[in-house]
Amino acid sequence: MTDREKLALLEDMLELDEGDLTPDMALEDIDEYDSMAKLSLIVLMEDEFGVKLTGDVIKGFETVGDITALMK
Amino acid sequence: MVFSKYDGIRISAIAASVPPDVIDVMSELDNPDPKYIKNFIKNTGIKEKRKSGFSQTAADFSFTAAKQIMDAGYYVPEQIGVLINLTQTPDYRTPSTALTLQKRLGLTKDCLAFDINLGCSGFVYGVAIAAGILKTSTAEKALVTVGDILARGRRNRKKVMSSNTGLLFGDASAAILLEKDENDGFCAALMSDGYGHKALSVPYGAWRHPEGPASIPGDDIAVFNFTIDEVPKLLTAYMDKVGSKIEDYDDLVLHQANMMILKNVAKRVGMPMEKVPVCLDRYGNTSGCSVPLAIVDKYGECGEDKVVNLLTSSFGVGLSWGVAGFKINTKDILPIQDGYDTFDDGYSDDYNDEGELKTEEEIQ
Repeated sequence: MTDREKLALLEDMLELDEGDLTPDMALEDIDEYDSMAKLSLIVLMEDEFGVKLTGDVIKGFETVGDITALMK
Repeated sequence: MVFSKYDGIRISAIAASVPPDVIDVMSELDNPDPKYIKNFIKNTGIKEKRKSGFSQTAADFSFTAAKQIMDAGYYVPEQIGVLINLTQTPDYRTPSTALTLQKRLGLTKDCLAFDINLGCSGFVYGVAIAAGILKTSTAEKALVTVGDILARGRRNRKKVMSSNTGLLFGDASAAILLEKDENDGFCAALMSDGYGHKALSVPYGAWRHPEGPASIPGDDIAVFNFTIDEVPKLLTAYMDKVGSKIEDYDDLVLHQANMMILKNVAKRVGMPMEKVPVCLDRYGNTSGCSVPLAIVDKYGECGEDKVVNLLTSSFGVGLSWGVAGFKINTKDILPIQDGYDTFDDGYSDDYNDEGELKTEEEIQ
């Protein structure tokens, strides 16, 4: 999966337009990344990548790139 | 898991009662943030709910539901040997609300009655414990009532103690009748995890921490992970134990936590959403009552003489969770009733800030 495709997954989850996200964007600046979005992220990461996100891991995310780095 | 097989016991009637007042979620915030509300509705699926006034408690809706079953001819007071009430919002610190329900329903003293402090997992725990007592006792029939009033805050002398989960929860209670029947039976599996007790907790206002906020934020992520991991695992383990497949069931009735949880649990056990009853859109998250409310919402008006095979799971505070599978004739599932009952227990609410009864001058 390309970096662009990974970003597209997040854009789709957050209902953003294609190209809205870049890896260096701070998550705290993205209004749509709220508490419910974090729950959606748990499902996305587990279903698409088999990655189980805990609360501590999610709290450690600062940028969009921190999330896509786990999409392997 | 603790697995139990209750041969000779069946769930013979289910009823539910809700406050008459319908609350539109959009009207719940004083200054509605349209984007927040839109996202809330999208993610939780909750559009409306019922909210009780301060003249009613969960016990009043439990009474209405239990009386509905009695009035429909399923039991007479002398037949009830067990009354278990599951709630986080009891009428009193002590005694158990089950005792006042015993009195209100006119049950005899040949009946054991007590409360269990459980929230969203209450339904499965209640029917399992009641069935266990029925199976080993002389009692012929048992009533389980389960309900909470979490939509409204708790009022003390000075103010309404509002909850930070007020938007999510709706008020409701259900009653479930169980009885001995040698040709029937059902199974249940229960689990609990006290290591996760802080994930959902109301630590203030009791004996360890008498003063403090009415509620504190829960650990949403821990609760969500618990639910989508542990509940499907227990459902699968239960089906393995009883030798059933998900296709064997007419419905998978889950605690109505929110739509995201319903969809993910259903997906993980392979049940299509068409066979997962949803009532949270109109009633909100109704705590331990949500499983029976979803059953009553789906079948209460159908009146058909048809047996359905239900797989149910309730889960929540504790953490605690359970699964029960049982068959019931849809004619024994009664329509949802708006609850208007109240209870004048004779106690005064007219206390001043010092905790002393107000004088007539103060009241005026």
